[in-house]
Amino acid sequence: MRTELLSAITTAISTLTQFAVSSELPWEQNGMPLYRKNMKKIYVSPDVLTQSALIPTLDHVNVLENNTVNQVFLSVDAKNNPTQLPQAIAAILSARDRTGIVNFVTEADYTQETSEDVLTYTFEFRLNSITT
Amino acid sequence: MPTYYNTSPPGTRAVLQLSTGTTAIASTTTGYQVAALQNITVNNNVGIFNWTQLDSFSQYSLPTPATNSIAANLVLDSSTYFVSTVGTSGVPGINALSNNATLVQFRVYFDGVRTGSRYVAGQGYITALAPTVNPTAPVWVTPVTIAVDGDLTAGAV
Repeated sequence: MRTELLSAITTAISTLTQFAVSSELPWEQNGMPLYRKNMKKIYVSPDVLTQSALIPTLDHVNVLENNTVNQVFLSVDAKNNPTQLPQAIAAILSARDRTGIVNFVTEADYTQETSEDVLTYTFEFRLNSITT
Repeated sequence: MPTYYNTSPPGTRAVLQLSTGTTAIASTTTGYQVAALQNITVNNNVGIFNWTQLDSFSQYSLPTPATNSIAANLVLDSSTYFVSTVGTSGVPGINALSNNATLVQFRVYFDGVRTGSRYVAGQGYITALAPTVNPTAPVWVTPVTIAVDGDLTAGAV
């Protein structure tokens, strides 16, 4: 699902000149997450997948629900926010409704945290699909 | 210690077997087993006629003929629901059995189809199909009722 999310976010922010999407994973370098080092670059975490029975059946051929969680990180200058930041936040959240992403339950929200002069947005996408 | 009918192990699951024709199902391989059952209920409702008398403080009762039915819910399986014959069984899918008001023979196995497994059997008509789906459980499911024609008979494989 990370590939699809990466593609959807790339499309969603394509008109915003101040931001870019990185295909790299949000790893840390010298104890600093890459998204803090490379501000205004959007990073998408790997999939975290859990599976549960949506509809249990007596013959054990259950309808399975795949719950995929991805985190998306974006850091900006806390003192001088980019002018396109509100559009970027809306565009990232809108990725949940794009083809290839939308399924029977798709949710997205975010938290923000300021540390020193860096404001970091952590988006969480909860993308569910089913396996029959 | 009592021995319960445990349907958890794969070999002892509850099974609904369907066939057509006018003679009772003779074998566990006749017709087909309905896939993806969510639950199943065997109803044997003996009718009761009650009356009161002035000389008694309690009601009196007499049995009247029973109304029997099998009620279940299932997930629609594309290989068994709309098809004109399920696999090589020669028996139509549930939708056709209902639409054509076909007399079906059935067995409900309580603990698998092994030797010794208990079942109730009978014949009747499939009714009360009501396929439904919703956005938070996007798989079609439907209730199904077999309105039993006559007695439910108990047996063992």
